[in-house]
Amino acid sequence: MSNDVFEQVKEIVSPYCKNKEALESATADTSFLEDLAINSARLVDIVIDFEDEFDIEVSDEEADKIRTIGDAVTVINAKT
Amino acid sequence: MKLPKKQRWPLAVQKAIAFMCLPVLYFLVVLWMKYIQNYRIKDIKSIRRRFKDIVQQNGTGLLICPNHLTYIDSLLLAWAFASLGSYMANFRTFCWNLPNARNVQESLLYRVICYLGKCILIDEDPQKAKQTMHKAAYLLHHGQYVMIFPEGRRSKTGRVDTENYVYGVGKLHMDSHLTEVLCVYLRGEHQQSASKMPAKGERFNVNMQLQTIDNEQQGRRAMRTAANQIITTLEQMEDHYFATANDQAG
Repeated sequence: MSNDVFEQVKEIVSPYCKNKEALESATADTSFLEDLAINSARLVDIVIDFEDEFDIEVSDEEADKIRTIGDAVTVINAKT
Repeated sequence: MKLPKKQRWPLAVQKAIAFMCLPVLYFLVVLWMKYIQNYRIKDIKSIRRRFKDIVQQNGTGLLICPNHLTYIDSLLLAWAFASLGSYMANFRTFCWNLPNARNVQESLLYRVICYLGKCILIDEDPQKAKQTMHKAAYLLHHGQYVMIFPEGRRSKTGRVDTENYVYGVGKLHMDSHLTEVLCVYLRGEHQQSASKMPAKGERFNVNMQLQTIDNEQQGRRAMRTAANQIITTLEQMEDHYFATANDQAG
C-alpha cells in the first residue's frame, strides 16, 4: 500500500472525522463510519475530495465499496 | 424513466387502494388532529389557495421538501395543503412519502396507515433504499407528488440542520429530471426542538417557496449542489420565520 496515498487519505478525511484519536492510530482496516465516527452522509463529500485531490473519477459502485481507509487507498491506487 | 413491472404494479395497486380509503383516512386523521389534539394551521385558506395555484401552474410531478421537527409533519402538511375534495379530484397531489422503515416496522397499525397514506418505506439496507428512491423518482417522473425531508431525520437542534443533512434529496431531484422543488417550512409556535409529537393545542405556520434548482454539474456533485440549494432555502425560510416572529413579539 502506498504510504503517501494512505497519509493523504487520512488528511482528507480529517475534517469529517469525529474520533481524532482513532485517526491518529489508523490502519488500513480502520473504517470510516464505525472507527472514525464519520457521518455516513459525509462519505459523498469524502469521495468528491478524493476525486479532486487525485484527479480521478470514482463510480457509484466503487464508492459504495469504500468502507475503510484501505478500501479508499486501493481504489485510488488503481486509478493513479 | 423505467421501473420493472414487478415494482410498478404494487405501486399502482397501493395507489388505487389508497384512493379508495382516502375519505376515511383523511377524515380520521383530521378529526384526531383538529378535535382531539386541538391543532390549528394558521391561515389555512391562503395556504390551500397557494398550493392550488402551484398545482395549476405545474402539470408535472412535484418534489416537496419540508423541514422536519416531529413525526407527524407529513400529516400536518397533507391537511394544510388541500381539502379532502381537492385530493379526491386530483389524487396525484396527495403526496407519496418516504418514511424510514425502522420507524414503522414494529407496528402493524403504523404499517397499514403508511400503506394507505401512500408511503414507500426506506430500508436501512442501501440496496433496498436505492430501489425505494428509484421508485420515488419514477413516481415524480410520472406526474406524482412526492414528499421527502431533505435533512434526512428530525433536526436535533430544532433548527434546519445545515451540517448533517443527507444528499438523497439531490439524487432524487436529479433522477426525476424536474427543475423545480417546493420547499416548505412548517413550525408550531411552541416547538423549541425536535419532538415525537407537537404539544396539544399547537398552532402551525406553513410557508412555501417554489425553487428552481440551478445545477450544471453531474453525478454526485450535482446531487450535493441540489441538496445544498434546498437546505439553504429552508434555512432562509427559517430565518424569515424567526425574524417575523421577533418583529411581532417586539
